[in-house]
Formats: sequence, structure tokens, C-alpha cells
Amino acid sequence: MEIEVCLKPQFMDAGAAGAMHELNLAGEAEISAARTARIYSFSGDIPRARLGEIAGKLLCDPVTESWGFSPYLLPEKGWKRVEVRFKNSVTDPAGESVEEALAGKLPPGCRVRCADVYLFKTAAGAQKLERAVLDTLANELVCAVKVI
Amino acid sequence: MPTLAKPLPVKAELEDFLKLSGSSLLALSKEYGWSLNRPEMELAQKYFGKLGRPPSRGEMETIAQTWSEHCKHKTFSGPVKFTSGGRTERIPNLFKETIVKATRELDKKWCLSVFEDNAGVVEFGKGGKWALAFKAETHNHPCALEPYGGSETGVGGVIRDVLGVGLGAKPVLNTDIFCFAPPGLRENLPQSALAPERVLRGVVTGVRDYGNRMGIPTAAGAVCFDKGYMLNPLVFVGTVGIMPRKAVHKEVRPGDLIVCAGGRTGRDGIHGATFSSADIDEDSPASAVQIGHPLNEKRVLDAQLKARDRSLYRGVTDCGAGGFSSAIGELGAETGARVYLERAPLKDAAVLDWEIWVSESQERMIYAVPPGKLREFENVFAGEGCQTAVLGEFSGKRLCVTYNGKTVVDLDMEFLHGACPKIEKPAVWKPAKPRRAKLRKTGARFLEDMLANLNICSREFMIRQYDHEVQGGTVLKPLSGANGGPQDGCVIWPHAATGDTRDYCGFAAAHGINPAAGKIDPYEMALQCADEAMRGLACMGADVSRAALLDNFCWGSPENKTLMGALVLAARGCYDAAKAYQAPFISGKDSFYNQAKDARGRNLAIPCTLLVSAVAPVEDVRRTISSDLKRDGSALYILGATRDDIGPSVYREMTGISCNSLSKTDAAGNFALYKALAKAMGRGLVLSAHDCSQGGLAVCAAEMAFAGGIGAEIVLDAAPYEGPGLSPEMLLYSETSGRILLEVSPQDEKKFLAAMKGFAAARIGRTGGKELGFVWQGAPYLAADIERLRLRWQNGLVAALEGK
Repeated sequence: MEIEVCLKPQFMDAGAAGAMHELNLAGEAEISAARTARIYSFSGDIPRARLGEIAGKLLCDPVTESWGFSPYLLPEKGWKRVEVRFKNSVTDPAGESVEEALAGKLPPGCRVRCADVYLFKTAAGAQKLERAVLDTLANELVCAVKVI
Repeated sequence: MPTLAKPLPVKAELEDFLKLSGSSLLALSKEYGWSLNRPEMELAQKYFGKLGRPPSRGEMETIAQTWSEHCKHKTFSGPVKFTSGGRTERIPNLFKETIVKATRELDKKWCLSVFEDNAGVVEFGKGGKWALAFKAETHNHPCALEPYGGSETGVGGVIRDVLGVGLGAKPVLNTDIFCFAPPGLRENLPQSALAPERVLRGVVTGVRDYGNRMGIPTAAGAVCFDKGYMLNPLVFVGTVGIMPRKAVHKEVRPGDLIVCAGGRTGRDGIHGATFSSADIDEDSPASAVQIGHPLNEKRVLDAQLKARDRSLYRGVTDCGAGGFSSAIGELGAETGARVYLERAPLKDAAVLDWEIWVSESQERMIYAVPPGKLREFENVFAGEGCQTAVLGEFSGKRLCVTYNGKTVVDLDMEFLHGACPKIEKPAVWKPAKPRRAKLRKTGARFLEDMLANLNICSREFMIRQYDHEVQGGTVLKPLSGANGGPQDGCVIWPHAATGDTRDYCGFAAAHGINPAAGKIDPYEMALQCADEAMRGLACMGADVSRAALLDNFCWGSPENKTLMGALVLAARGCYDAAKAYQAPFISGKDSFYNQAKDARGRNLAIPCTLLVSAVAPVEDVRRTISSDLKRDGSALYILGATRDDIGPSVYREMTGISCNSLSKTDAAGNFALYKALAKAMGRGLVLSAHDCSQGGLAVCAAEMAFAGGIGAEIVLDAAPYEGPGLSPEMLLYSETSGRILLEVSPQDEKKFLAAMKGFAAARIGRTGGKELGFVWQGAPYLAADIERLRLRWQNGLVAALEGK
């Protein structure tokens, strides 16, 4: 099960602005707007309500952020959603930290992995956008990229 | 793109190990990613032949990492047949006969631990209570593949080196020195390689994220740009630590428990050590790259220092290249070790026994804990939220590793650490014919362009990302003065480690790196690197007579005779430099095989690159000297004479003239000069000082001027000059070593001149106004607005990264 946390639209998303800048600098896919979110992926059997409680109280700052079960940050017309995840063999320090922080609140053996979501407003096709993301924001060697 | 880790072993190949031919052994080594050459494989075959059994995968993995270039330094420590000028000589051990020899001959009593542990250690402070540990590492190959992960694990690794020296030092400074290709360079960039600007951004972000989260200031460094680093960026990371003097040496005793602490073990980082013995190509193992977890390391650091102060362990080392295999093998080299791998905390259950043994998963340390102190040790670490596990004990004279009763490794320590075959490498050197050139006249616009040149412009884009203030002891920061101008290094007051705010003793750290000089003469490059580092210390007011040096050599393949010839010359340059500056090398590292194939299939090696890092005490950090001009109406003095050193200069790079002029560095003379300057500074006779290095006198004066927001007028004719080729451009832009520009108060001039009697010290101008002007033969020659110069300098790197 996965939780997504993102900034509320009224707050400036500096991470998104940075990602858009890098992609536009590379010149491979023109991006006119961007948003980001963070995915928390939980393995194991956790009741949905329990996870909701964890997300709302611990993973999300309710003043500036909102959350939902994945996929939460959905692309509108003209937008594309890109997910960047570490491959399973790669250490995910953020996931490990969340796992430790939630110790006692998760069932034994439950693992947490984190991932990034980007929403890009672009006319570029999925393949072109994936290539552009691999050339700027993610490294194929350690990351898997999915464009939706 | 590089492929993923090799498939699991084909059992039959190892069962047939004793019967394999030499070529099959070599093929097997390549297939498994061991990077062992044919004689090494044959020696292993002979060893196991005597035992009458084939090796296990774990044993071969252990041998491969122990004998790797990374761990054994077999090129630098191996025999060399050197031919130059029609003369051939044999050098049995290049490292021992140059770097180590200088240190042994200098025999400084303040050197406490050199070339024997994870870092070099010297005395620090008054009263003999403290010691200073210094280490610089490279993480080049991983950074070429995954810049962020590569650089952050590089930082994590060198911090662990300092934690793992003696009984551990508290890190108080991180340094970072990078060599990149210019941003935007695409010429013959293969599809599988990352673009230079992406490498740069990733590396800087990695250094930032790891260093900042560890709470260690990153406050000194340098960046070089050259097309030759397109496929192989260089990432040097260093750490300085402070430790009680009584903690300088470790002593593992038979019966001590082997305890690991920190991160868990996973499949990440398999073959990082053996990877360093190979060129980067499309088959480079993805598993050699990792993502670090600085918070895990911070917990280890905090717990370890508490445990050290309670004497809860007798030995410690970090799990670096080779993981448990290397760390336990080294700590137990005298005692032997018995290891039960099933006790290791794992990231996931799918890890194979031999993988647990060689995995280079980050943030792990190994301790030798007396059984009676185990409980308290565990409690201290648990108190910091740090996991520990008892893996076995140091005993038995052999290295015996099992997993749930099954033998994984059973090797004789003497074979493992003493049998690696020494293979003589041929080395040749043919000096280039000297080429001089007539310099063309330039103007203010050229000086502006030079300040925006990648090799000179501000590193603010990087510096501002690093926390250089944490611990509250950074006295001289990377950008100082009213307008944040560049400094020659940093000065640290390590009260966070000593807890003593009444003792103002600190230390200065500086670097020297000059790959452009190495393309002309590697011997001179070494002298220039040492001189630049020593000069940096002198400019900040450090005690240069107590300087200690680190060497970091980054080269292409040692199979290339010319590159080996360059290595011999550079190593000899290091020896001569150390002797002349009376500054021992206390630690170092080498990195070979920095080469890769470009898009046209040509195997390109990096420029031969030597980094010399220097550290020296500053008796009272309140008397630190910075480079920014302080007042209107001061006198400007230049120390040292200018010669024709246009060959490796930025002027040559920008004008494209064909020339390789490079003068001989007078290291002994420069050292005497720096000592005299230190005395003058100690008497308060110098207001500011800056070294004339890249960009020459013109750039040095510009940086001092805009840093302080004060202009200056300089009479070029007044600067001492030696040799042919005198011209205003030569005086402005030649990069002769040994020169320092100083600001002296008019009322101190007499005393200053008396202090510098017998040395080349000339008054060449005065400070004032808002312009930087140069005069030649009585007439204005060049004038520029200092604010305009500052803006060009400040925006150079960002403009390049933005493709402007």
C-alpha cells in the first residue's frame, strides 16, 4: 500500500521548480509547469485506517501538505505523472528512517520504501519524457522510472 | 548503461579451479569481477593446490579484495623499471623510496602515526594532550556512474577513516576537491556516460547532503576543469579529526570480540574494491555504487566517541572497500579471526554468505571489544539507537569464516597479506621539447573574462550549499571579506572536539593541485602542488615549519608505460618537495585506471593528477590572516620573483598560444621565505595575504581588491622578474610558484622590510579607490572597476551550468 504526500497548491513547490528548471536546461522535453509528491510504500498487511492515521499525523504536515492513497497526485489533461523509485537492491535511507520512526506502529517485518512523484505539464511523449528524466533527475543505474 | 551485478556463481567453475589453464583462470577472474591478473590467479591456484581443494567463492572474493589496487596499492608499492634519457633503473618499491622515505628521513617527533593506520596522525595543541588525524580519499569510479551516491559514500568513507584511526578521532573538518570536464561538453561523450554538468551537480549535492547531516563543516577545497575529466571525474574528499593523544594507537588482543556496529549488511557495494582495479566500461558493476545513510553514521560517531572515552574497546576500523573481509582481515592480521556470518544484521534475507563477507554496505564499523566490556559497549551504542552484533572473536592465527556451520573462508593470514605477487611495471619518460611564445597584449575585458574562467571563477554555487559553520569553529571561511572573496584554505578552531574555549590553538588546511603543469612535467607538478599547499598555509598565518602533507595520486592505467613514467617523476617530485619544505607526508592514497572509452572508442586517460593537502597549526586563531584588502592607503608587496610559467597558465588556455614554458620551483628558497613571512605575520606586520596562483598576479590582486571592496594601483615594473620574456602580460598572468601578494600598513613597512631582509620582497603598489589599475613603464596599462570584476568572477560557474 502506498501513501502520497504533496504540498498544498497554494504553497510554492521549490522542488518542482528545480526539477522543471533542470529538465528545461537539458532541452530534451519542454516543461511549462511542475508539481512533486513523495510516495511512502509499505510492504505487509496494514489496515487502511491505521495507515491513514500514520499518514495524516506523522508523514504529512497538515498545515502545508495534503495526503492520499496512491495515486494521489493525478495528471490533468496535458500533464504527465513520473514516478522515480530506487531499485530494490539500492539502500533507501529515507525509507529506513521512516521505518525506524514508525517502529511499534507498524506490524513486524513491515518495510518502507520512499519514491518521488513529478507531475509535468508537457507536450513531450512518454518515451521522450522518460529519457529526459533519466538524463537529469534519475540515474538508470540505481533508479527505475515510470511515466504515466 | 552498466549492467547489473554478475549472475550467481557457476559452481562447476570453482570446483575445476585447480585444473584450469592460465588463460581460463584469467577469464574466470574477469567473469566474476575480481580484477585479479594471471600471475595472481596462478598463485591462488598454487596455494589451493597445496591445500588439495578448490577455493570457495568467499575465499576468492577475499583474496581479490585484499590484493586489489584499492587495498594493496600494488602499482605504487610494486617494482618499476624506469627508462628516461637513455638510462634505465630499477625501483623495487616506488612508494617506499619516495613518499615514505621522505617522511622517515625527516623523522619529525610530532608525527605520531604515519602510513600504518586509516589516517595520518600528528601532535596538536599545547601540552601534548591532543592529536590531529588527516585523511583524503578519492571516490572517482563510483562518482562517474552515480555522482550523488558516489560522492556521499566517499564522504562517509573518509569520515569513517578518521573514526577508525587509532581509537577514533572526532571529525572537525571536511574538505572537497573536484576535477570535472567543463559543463556542456559533449564532444565524443558516449551515450552511457553522464554529462559533465550532471556529474558536477550530483557530486556537490552528495557532498552537501552527507557532510551537512553529519554535522561536520565542509570548509576547504578546490575545483579544476579540464576536458580530460569528461569520462572520469575526480572526487577527492578529506576529513580532519581531533583525538586525545592516548587514543592514537590500537591494540587488538587474542580473545577480543569482533563487534560490528552501524548499518546493516546488504547486497549493495559488492566489488567496490576490485572495481578500482579496472577501467570504467559498460560492464562496470552497478552494485559497486551505493546510496549513503548519513544519520546512521552520525549515530555511530556519537556512540563511538562515548565508548572510546570509557575505554570500552581496544581496536576499531571501518568497513570500507571489501567490507567485513577487509576490516576484520586487517584488525586480525596478527591475531587471526573466527567469524560467524549468520550473526550479521542484514538488510534482507536474500544475501548469500560470501556476499555478507565482502559487501561494502555503508556506515559499518568493526570493534575489538574485551569480553568484560561488551555489555557496557552495547548499552552505549543502544543509547544512540545504534545496532551492534558480535560476529566472532580475534583468535586462532587464521581467518576462519563460517555461515551456520558451513565454512565460507579458511585462509592463512600470511598468504592473504603477504603473498600478493609483485609484478615489475615498465615506465618511460621523454621530456617535451621546450616551446616559448610571445604573449599578446590584452586589456581589462580579458581580465574580466579570466575571472569568469571556470578554473578561476567563484565556487559560491558549491560553497553556499555546504554547512561550513557547524561546530562553531570555522575561523577563516571559504568566502571572506566584505564581499566574500576567495581564501587560500581555511582555519579551524576545534573547540568542539577539545571542549577548551580558553586555548585558541587551531589549524589551517590548504591544497595544491595543478594538472595543467603535469601535462608538461610531472616532477615540477609535484613541486608546484606542494608549494601551492604550503603557500596557502603561509598566507593564512599557519606555522609552516610544522606542516604535514597528504598525497593523492589519480592516474590512468599503470599498464601504460608513459603514465608510469609520469608517476615515477611525480613521486620523486613529492620526495624532493617534502625534504625541501621539511614537511612529511603522513598519509595518502592512489587511484589508477581512471580512463574510459569515448564515443569513438578511444581509451582516454585523465590528465595525471596529484593533490597535495597540507595541514599546520595556527598558534592563535585570532591572528589568522585573510586575503581581502583591509584599508585604503596600505602598501602592497609581492614576495617572490616572476618567471615565464605561461605553459600551464589560464592565460595560455584562454589565448590558445602554443607554449609549454614551466620554470623550476625553488622549493627550499620558497620555504625559507614562508618561514620569514610567518614570523612577520606573528608580529602583526601583515594585514592581508593571498597567493599568486591561477591567473597570476592580475587575478590575485583582483580577488584581494573585490573581496575587501578596496581598489589598488600596481606598478608592474616594480615586481621582481627572472629570465627571458619580460613583458606586462608575463607579469600579469604568469603562474610562477612561490609568490604572495601582501597588504602592509604604511607604519609597519620598515619593520616588515627588516623582517623580510634577504628575500625577494618588493613594494609594487598601494591600496585605494574602486579601481584596480596596473602601470607599466610609467603609464597606465590596464584598469578595471573592481565591482565589475567581482560580478564576472561571481557568476562564472553558474553561467556555465546554465549554458550561458
